[in-house]
Amino acid sequence: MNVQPRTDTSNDDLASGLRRLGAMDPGEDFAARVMGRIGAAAPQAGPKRRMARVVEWLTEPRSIRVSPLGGIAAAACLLLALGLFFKNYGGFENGATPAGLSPVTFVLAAPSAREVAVIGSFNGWKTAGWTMRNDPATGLWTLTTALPPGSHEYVFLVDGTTPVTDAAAALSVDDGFGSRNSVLLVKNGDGAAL
Amino acid sequence: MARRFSILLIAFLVAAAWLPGPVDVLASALDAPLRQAQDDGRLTAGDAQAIEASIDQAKAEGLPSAPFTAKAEEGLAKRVTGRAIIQALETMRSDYAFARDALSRGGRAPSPDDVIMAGDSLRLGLTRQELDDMAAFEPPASPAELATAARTRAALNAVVFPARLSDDILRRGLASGALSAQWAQLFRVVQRTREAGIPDAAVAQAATRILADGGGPAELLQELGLTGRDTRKAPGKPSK
Amino acid sequence: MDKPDNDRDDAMAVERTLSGEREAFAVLVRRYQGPVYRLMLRFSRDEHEACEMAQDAFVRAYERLASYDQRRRFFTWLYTLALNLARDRARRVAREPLYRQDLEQTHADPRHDPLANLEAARILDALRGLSPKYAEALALRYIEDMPLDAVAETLGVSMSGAKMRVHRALNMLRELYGKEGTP
Repeated sequence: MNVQPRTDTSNDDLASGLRRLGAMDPGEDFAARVMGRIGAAAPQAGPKRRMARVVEWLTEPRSIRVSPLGGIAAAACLLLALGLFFKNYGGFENGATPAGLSPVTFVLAAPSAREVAVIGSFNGWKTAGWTMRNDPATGLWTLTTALPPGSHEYVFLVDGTTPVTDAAAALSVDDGFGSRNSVLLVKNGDGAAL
Repeated sequence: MARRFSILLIAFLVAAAWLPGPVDVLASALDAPLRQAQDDGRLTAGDAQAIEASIDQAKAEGLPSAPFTAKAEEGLAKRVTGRAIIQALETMRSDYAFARDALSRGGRAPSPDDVIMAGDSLRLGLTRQELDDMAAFEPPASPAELATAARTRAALNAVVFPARLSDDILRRGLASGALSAQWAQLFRVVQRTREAGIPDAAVAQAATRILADGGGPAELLQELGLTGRDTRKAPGKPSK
Repeated sequence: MDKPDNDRDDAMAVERTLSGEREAFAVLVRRYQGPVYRLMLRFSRDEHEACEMAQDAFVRAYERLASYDQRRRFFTWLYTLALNLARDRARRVAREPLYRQDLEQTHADPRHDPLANLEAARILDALRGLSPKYAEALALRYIEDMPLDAVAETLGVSMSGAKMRVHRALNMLRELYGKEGTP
């Protein structure tokens, strides 16, 4: 096949050619390789950062495992708080659950967050109407809703920008963007997740 | 007055269904988030066009388009890069096309939901080889059952259930025609049996027995001595 | 890539990394692996080497993260770091024109046809012939598709300066590209 001499290449052609270079990417496992090389090393500490780091660790958003069988002290303290909490915000105890849907409560521990929303396959990944309620005493964010039976993918969106997965979820899956989604399984009937 | 309005509405919808391009009702769901992302500088015009082109391409190939729109919305909500969204859509298109081919083998006709369930499974932990193998089982299973098998297998892979045991369970399930949609929750049973110290092999044996008898995961739990009680409820809340 | 929300994302990821949450750094890697890799393509002999150099850049960024001034844009800092690393390497390594290597040796993306790969290789080679300040302006503007103000910020020049560089660079590239002739 003849390749034409390119002496008449226009600037537009070049710009297009350059843009096509923009599709080149080192691949999906690149990040894993970088993280592997970093290993267990911590970044070299700058002199002023240690206190800031401690504060950040205490206040960064974490999701917790909600389980009456939980053995760790932290979970036990939170469970006590939750017990009181659910009495006040029991969700669908007073009202009827919409037909075919089952009650679900999402919980996230994020004391330093300004706002948290639940976004997922059940609400088009939109935050409107899905912002969580904060209990300042415990730092917990909760949202109670009713979802149809089946498998749902979701994340918490912290401060409008940062997706956070749910440590208490049964499963986390690849979201297609190189990150993870949490999975919630809703059963028919008694409204409990399996 | 109302009658005239509904006639106009029907006429509009018919027109929307027939005319390609600007009157595309489904793509309009993405217009606002795409525009917002461009206004915010999070997305270039080129990327926005590429996203829409990718969705159009999926439609042109006869693939169900709602999941593509949803995936784009998800990416925009999570503020990933335009390139990541485009990549995710391309992967999805490839996955769905592969799933449709696998499910269509032997002249079967998968529904859009079947294609979506099986296609998603490729993202959720199922390999293409595994989907191919299951589609080749004799006697041929229906597309709906294959899709359920795909979803079930994907989740089992995700919890690192031994491949050999998954094979046994799904072969039996597909052969017996007992693989109802609920079996996609099998991974959750496995998580609970592991907490209870029950070996995976025992779970697999029990599952194949239950499937041979036409039962579901609830029977499996009973067979293994675990009740259907939800261990995730909060203290103080009455169990049902 | 250059508006407040992305900056906040980056800042949060940096904070979390420095707080001990190593995995938060992976977010930054995934977000910027493309531009850093493509930068390294212009300073290396093949895609494999570019990939190694890109990894080096991120590892160095991680090691030096505490010295990153969070009032600045993260990508600018990262890009400068990567560029310096690339220049150090380039001085030590003799360059070979990429497109004279066997095509089999490059890790061709199966979606690209061989002729498109040839074009990519030729453009890359021509880019290498430009002086760095022009090559970077062009790369940021067209390969990374960044708006002019972001190009200016990353390069540390004024907007009119960036615009002029891009314009001149494109003309220079056209000459270099045309002169390469047929393979």
